[in-house]
Amino acid sequence: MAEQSTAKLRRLVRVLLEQPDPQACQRCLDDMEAYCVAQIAGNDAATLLPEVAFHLDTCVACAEVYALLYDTLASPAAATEPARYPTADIGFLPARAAPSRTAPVSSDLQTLLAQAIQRSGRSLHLTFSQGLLQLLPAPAPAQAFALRSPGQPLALFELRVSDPETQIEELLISAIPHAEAQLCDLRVRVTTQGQSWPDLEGIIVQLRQGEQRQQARTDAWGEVVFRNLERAQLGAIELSVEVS
Amino acid sequence: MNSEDLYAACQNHGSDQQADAFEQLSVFFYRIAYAMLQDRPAGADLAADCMQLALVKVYQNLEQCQEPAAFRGWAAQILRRVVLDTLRQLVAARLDPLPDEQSALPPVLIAPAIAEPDDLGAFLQQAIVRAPLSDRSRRVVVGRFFEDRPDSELALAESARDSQTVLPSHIQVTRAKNLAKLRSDPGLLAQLRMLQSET
Repeated sequence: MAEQSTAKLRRLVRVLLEQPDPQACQRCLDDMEAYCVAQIAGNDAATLLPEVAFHLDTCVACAEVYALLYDTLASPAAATEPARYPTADIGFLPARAAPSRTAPVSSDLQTLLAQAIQRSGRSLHLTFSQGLLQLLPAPAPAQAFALRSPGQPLALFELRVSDPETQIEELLISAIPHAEAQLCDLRVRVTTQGQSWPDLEGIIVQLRQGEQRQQARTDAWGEVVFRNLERAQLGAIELSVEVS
Repeated sequence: MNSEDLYAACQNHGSDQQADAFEQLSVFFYRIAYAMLQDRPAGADLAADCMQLALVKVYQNLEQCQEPAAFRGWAAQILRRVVLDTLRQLVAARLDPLPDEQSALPPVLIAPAIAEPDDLGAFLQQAIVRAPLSDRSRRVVVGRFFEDRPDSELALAESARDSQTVLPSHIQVTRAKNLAKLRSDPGLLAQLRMLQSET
């Protein structure tokens, strides 16, 4: 009995001395649902999954997330119906038989694109020109980026580049027009070989438009948005992507 | 459409059935994500992002679904995990203290090193009593570590005391926050480290 009591107290000491560990958070999240299900079923979840119980005592963020999951699983009927349902972007699915999702790439476009691309190390540089822009196809509806801004207008153009030399599986560049006719945003999404969300964060993308230079790092989706660019100057853009 | 049919449609690559199945799944996902996130700032937008991400994950992992008859449940687990990951990042960002907040805390306890188990209990109890915790906060820490009571039991006891519903999840969050308060006292941690190294 005394040994049991001591073990509990030592556990409290361990809880208090535990250092933050992101991997422990991930392991806890992995087993959190099983922990909640066991608890809701009336079982002793802390005994069944002691590591989860231990971590929940050491990490306030995971404890709060656990509480949300517990409440969701314990009373699913309490959920409120959303006022509206957003439209999902299912552009990640393979293209249906017809129509084709991507316009065929003309040989002229291929030639101009090859001229526009330069490489140094693991950096890819792309220099736009008016000729290149004129040949770029406008995308089909619902085939652009993942759902980040529902209802956004169709892109002016969409350019996809794949470059094994720099390990860029896909570089997707898309110009989104503003309501003001002279401005647009340039969205750049980079996917590198063998990586996907959320490991696409931090890729450096540089943009030069005339005297203007901007640099940004991709988010977890591999995406960067350069805002408020002059549409008339799109043909003078230089873009660099540096894959670390 | 039952789970098995939905799974078959999701696997029917490049077809209208596949697109319809994922659209159906998106409604199912959004309802769950919205229920989990509606009380958060920009909860509806977050729910939409989670829905989208979970759809992609389901598509990428379709082959891993072992039981097509339980496909909806399997897919819902993926969605919930995406929501939890998202929330975990948001909550962690909110909880990160400023450097000044940590250093401003006064020491709670100064005590000699104690090696005997009985003294360890007294030491910890003294720390809990002296820490800036509410009575309920003390009860949920003591209940777990000194009395070995499960959270479900502690929740029932607190519900009876306050005549309002207290869930085990409330007990867990309360305890985690109060243990964090104890952990923020460097003097206490130094004593505990010393105790740990001596035994």
